[in-house]
Amino acid sequence: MPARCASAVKIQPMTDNAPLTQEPAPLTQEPAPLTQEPAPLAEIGLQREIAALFVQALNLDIDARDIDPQAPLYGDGLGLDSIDILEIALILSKQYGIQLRANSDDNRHIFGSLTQLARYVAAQRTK
Amino acid sequence: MAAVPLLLHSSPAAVLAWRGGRAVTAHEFLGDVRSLAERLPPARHVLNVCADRYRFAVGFAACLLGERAMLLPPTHTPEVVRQLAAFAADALCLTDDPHHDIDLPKFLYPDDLAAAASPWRIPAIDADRLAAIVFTSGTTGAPLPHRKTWGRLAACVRDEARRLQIDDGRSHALLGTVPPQHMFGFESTVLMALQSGNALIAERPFYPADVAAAIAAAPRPRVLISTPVHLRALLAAGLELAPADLVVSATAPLATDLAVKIEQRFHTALIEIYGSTETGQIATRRTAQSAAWRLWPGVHLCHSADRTFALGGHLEQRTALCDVVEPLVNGEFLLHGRAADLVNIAGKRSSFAYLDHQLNAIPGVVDGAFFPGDPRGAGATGVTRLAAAVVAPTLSAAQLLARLRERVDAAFLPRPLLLVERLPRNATGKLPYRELQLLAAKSK
Repeated sequence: MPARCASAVKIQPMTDNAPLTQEPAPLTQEPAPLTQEPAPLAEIGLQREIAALFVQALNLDIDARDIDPQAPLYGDGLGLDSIDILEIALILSKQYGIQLRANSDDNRHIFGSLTQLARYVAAQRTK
Repeated sequence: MAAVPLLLHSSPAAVLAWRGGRAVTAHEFLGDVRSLAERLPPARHVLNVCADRYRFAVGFAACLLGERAMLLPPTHTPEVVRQLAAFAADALCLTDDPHHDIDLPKFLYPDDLAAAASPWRIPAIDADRLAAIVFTSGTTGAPLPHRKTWGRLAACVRDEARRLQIDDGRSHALLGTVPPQHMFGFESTVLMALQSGNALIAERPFYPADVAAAIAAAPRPRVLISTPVHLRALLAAGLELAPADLVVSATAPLATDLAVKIEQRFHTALIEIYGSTETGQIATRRTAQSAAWRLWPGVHLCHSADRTFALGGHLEQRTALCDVVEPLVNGEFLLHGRAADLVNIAGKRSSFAYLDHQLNAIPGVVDGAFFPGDPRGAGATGVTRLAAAVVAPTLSAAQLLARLRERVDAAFLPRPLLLVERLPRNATGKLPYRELQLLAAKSK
């Protein structure tokens, strides 16, 4: 793991995300780009798998099939907060071998929607 | 009147902070503080929301020099910000985020504070000066202010540094996963750095991989200052962890087995701190070895009418504790959970009375109550959410959540939120917890 702390002069936006503070700003600043093309079947399968993991692990009061794949996961969309984001980081690490980092450029897009998150997982998974 | 120096760093070149891997000296810090103090508008109350811990520290010290009190509310929801503005009409928001949407007059932390060379002189500040007003959620819907003077804040964290044995003249790097706006983060990462000659780390890592990298990058000796939620997540992520020289945890009691694992993984001691917004920090324990808490020197407990109070030491007056306490011989004590009305979710504190008040203040809500959620629903971070049952025939669950989000911190949003025809109140109007649990179970 590179020692990123030493080179990151700027405080990265996602570090606002800790459970003990106010809502992080960056995830609500940029609306998620709308996906134009229909998603391939494998992607839909992964979306459903991730949605089911979330509903179970986050104790969400919703059926996994009812999650809008285009809606933001954060704030007013699915209503996830920073504790959930930490839970999700652990799910992604355990299930797919992905370690989320705050200073990744992809980061702000990942939580833009279930579709974007599933694409990120498909591209980055190591298991 | 006694004066207490702003910082205890022994020389101008002593490191006061690490920022992006660069050492910031005590001399540079004082230059930034004086420069900011001159530029701050004349408001007497400042809400300091700087996310960069170094900027927060400069903001705090500049407020202190200019006799401005820093406001530390438990959350920054629009409702709480309105209440802060009602509390202090001149309240100003000091921020390092140009996009911050807090509805107060804003002062953006200047990027060009580069201080003109000034002589090395550490300001001494009256011990009685009001340094911060920390708010708890109270029980009536309005936040309760707790006034903290500089002298008492400083005395508390000097005792902390002594207890943690990081006042030995070496420069310890203090890495916090807690924000400086939280009382524990304010005391242990900002005030303690100033009052023990140590160095705070400006960055606050969030994801476990970021925390692991920040630990490895921090100069030694290094101290990880964290919470049970963050520590549990760090262990669960299964990462390589570089050794630390001390781990400190607070905000909620840490399970013994987790404490033992953390000591093994970091090859060092884990010290837990007990305190509250009202009392500040008053006790520690080495959780892996003992369940009993040791009080700060000079602080002692007394009991009256089923409540426990702390007094002495840095405490200005007898102050009630929020927890059920069992005193032991030799001045130590055991904790037996929170007083009934209090709520603590991931280190954020509120009360059922406050949350119920906020819920019932929403137009369209006829009746509503929060209650503890089912701990079997806790995730890998160990956090159990609250639940709520609400009678609101004209509102959807989504509308209700959106209204509630304006008023209470996201950590307290109910999961599940049960929309019901009536609440299972008994003949005296009380809500038996069992009935609420049955309601929640039925909704699954």
